[in-house]
Formats: sequence, structure tokens, C-alpha cells
Amino acid sequence: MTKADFDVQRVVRETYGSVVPHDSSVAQSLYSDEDLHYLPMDVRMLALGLGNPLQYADLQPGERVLDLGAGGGIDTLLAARRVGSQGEAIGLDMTESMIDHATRSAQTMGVANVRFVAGRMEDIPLPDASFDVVISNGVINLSDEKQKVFNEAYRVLKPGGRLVFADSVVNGKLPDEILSSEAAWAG
Amino acid sequence: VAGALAEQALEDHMCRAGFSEVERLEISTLDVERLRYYPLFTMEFLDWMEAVLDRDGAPPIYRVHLRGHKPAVE
Repeated sequence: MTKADFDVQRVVRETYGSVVPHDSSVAQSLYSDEDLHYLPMDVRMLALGLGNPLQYADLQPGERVLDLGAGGGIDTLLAARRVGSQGEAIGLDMTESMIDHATRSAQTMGVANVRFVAGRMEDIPLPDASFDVVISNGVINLSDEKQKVFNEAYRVLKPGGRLVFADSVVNGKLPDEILSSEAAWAG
Repeated sequence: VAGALAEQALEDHMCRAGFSEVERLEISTLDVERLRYYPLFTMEFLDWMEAVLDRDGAPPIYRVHLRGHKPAVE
């Protein structure tokens, strides 16, 4: 990866802020039928992740979970269900429209132990050592300051806490045309 | 996908942040056909990207799940 010569965060914010979902095929490819049935269609249609970190997070009742780049909130809402009423799930996203979508969905579903917070994963606006688990789904690749993301995830985790995420990797150099493409940085 | 790192680079970032017991849980190929599910890209862009990747013999892009722990005692 080379440093992009444009503002990556602007490109990502604009791209995700203007997403027009057309179906739920991403969600259907990643989540169990039980999880899909729990979620309303608008949440399923805004699933933009790459994997399913919750499969590997082993969430326990009462735990506090932070979802970096929560988007439409699918993983945050599922995490809230798994940790139960004594736990809490917080979704962090820098795109206001996604925060609005996710907050409305939580209200519609009547989920009380979830909230969505505006902010950047490179500068998480939450206290030190306040989460048992940090998850992220296809978002860390969108940052051009990845070390900061991991430093911040580490900071907000309690001692003994865990980070579980899905992301894209490439073991080699992508063509310069791809690396200089704003659209290729946005997804 | 342009911001994707090598898997080892991601693990190195995690270790520099302080994470221990870093482990790869799952890895699978992420081809352009799968990206067509996402409403983030136009079909024209994906066709162009696929052609560039094929033409240049670019390395495959993978989807990976990783996990790391913050030590209980720092």
C-alpha cells in the first residue's frame, strides 16, 4: 500500500454517505438465517462488511463491545443481542447518515443496549480500557493511518480484552492505477 | 481494496500496538465477482478494475479474519 495523494477519509465518507442499497445479498452471504431473521430488511440491505467477526468473537452476556466503522449497524445490533441486557454494544462511524440509519433501526427494533457514536477509528472518542471486545468488519482497509486504528483499539480495550476483525489483504503490490483510484480506496 | 495491506503487515501493526496471541482465523479469496454484491461501486468501475488486475497479473486479494488480545497484565 502506498499513501494516497487525496483525502481518503473524504472519499470514504462521501461514498458511504451516498450508498443506495439495492438488496440484501451481502448480508445473506455472511450471516446465519437466525441472525438474518432477527434483523429488519433495511439493516440487512446496509450490510457492507467483508466477513463475520462475531463468529469468532465469542461474546458473553454482560460484555461491552465496540464496533469500528459500524455503518448501518448490523454487527453492532447482533453484538447487542449476544451480550444481552447487562452488556452494551456501541457502533462508531464517521458517516452521519450511517449513524442516523443505525440509530433509527435500533429504535425501531426496541434495542436498548446499543448506541451509535460519531467519530473516527483513528481517534476514538471513548475512554481508555472501557470495552471487553472490539470488532470491525471490512473497515480497517479504508484507513490510511492503520497503526493509529490498532493503537486506539488497544487503548479502549480492557486488559484481557480482544480485537476481532475481518478485512481485505493483498500479499503483493496492486497496480498503480488501482492505488491511485479514489473509488478503489472507498470499498 | 486499494488500502489493503499484506496479512503480515496487518499482524505487525497489531503487535506494535501491543496485541498478543495474534492469530489468523480464516482466509479466502476475495474476487471482483464478490465485490459486485456491494452498492459501493459502479459496474463500470468493477469491470475496469477487473481488467487492470488481470492485465497486470496483480496478486490475489483475500478476505481474512484476525484476532488479537490485550494482555491481562501489561
